[in-house]
Amino acid sequence: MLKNRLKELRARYSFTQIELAKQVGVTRQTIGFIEKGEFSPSVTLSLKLAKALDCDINEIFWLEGEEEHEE
Amino acid sequence: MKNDMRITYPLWQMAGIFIIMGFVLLVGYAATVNTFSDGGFGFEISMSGNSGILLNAMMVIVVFYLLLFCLRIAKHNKRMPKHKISMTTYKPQEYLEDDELFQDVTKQATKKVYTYFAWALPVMAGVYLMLPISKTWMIVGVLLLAAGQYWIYYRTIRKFMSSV
Repeated sequence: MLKNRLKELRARYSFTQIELAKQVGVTRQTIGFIEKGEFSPSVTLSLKLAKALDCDINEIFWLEGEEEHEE
Repeated sequence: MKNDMRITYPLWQMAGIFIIMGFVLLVGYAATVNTFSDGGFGFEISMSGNSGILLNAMMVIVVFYLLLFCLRIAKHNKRMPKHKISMTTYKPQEYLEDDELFQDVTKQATKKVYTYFAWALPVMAGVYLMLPISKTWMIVGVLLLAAGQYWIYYRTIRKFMSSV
């Protein structure tokens, strides 16, 4: 399962869900679902999110069970 | 999204199906089909008493339904110009394809409908083969099957929308 820290990174930039959604060209609901871990975005959207949040894609997303590795 | 007619569109389709079903039952009971020995058949409809009243009532319902349906579409198109409902496209109007999340939800709903038909059609064919069902009730069965697909689709989308 794909885990993420999108909410945390979004807060760092003080982006609302709507603002981030507009930047990457999706709906607010999509950002909300990704943050809740209920939707796994495509590679394209993941890359767009990484670009919008000025970070590496691995900083936003990782696979469940790899938390220890990340830490 | 709350006032998005694309979400309630399957319910409108279901209502349309139920109206057609009313006509099928009315004609089914009021019509007599005569098959001739030299080939061909005769079709006779006798509208008298209650049948005539019912037919008139059905016509009023059809006009009311169409008026309301067109008004709601016009309202939706005015409110959501980017996601207009158009009668000229081949694609079903209830599809939500705003972005990849909505495409995914639409995919889930259509998968459920596919599974429903994969089971329901053979079962229905079997029932029609084994039981002496009249043409009227066969058509009603097909229409109920069609209404069922919209219900499954609507429920899936509704469940998703309530979690948004």
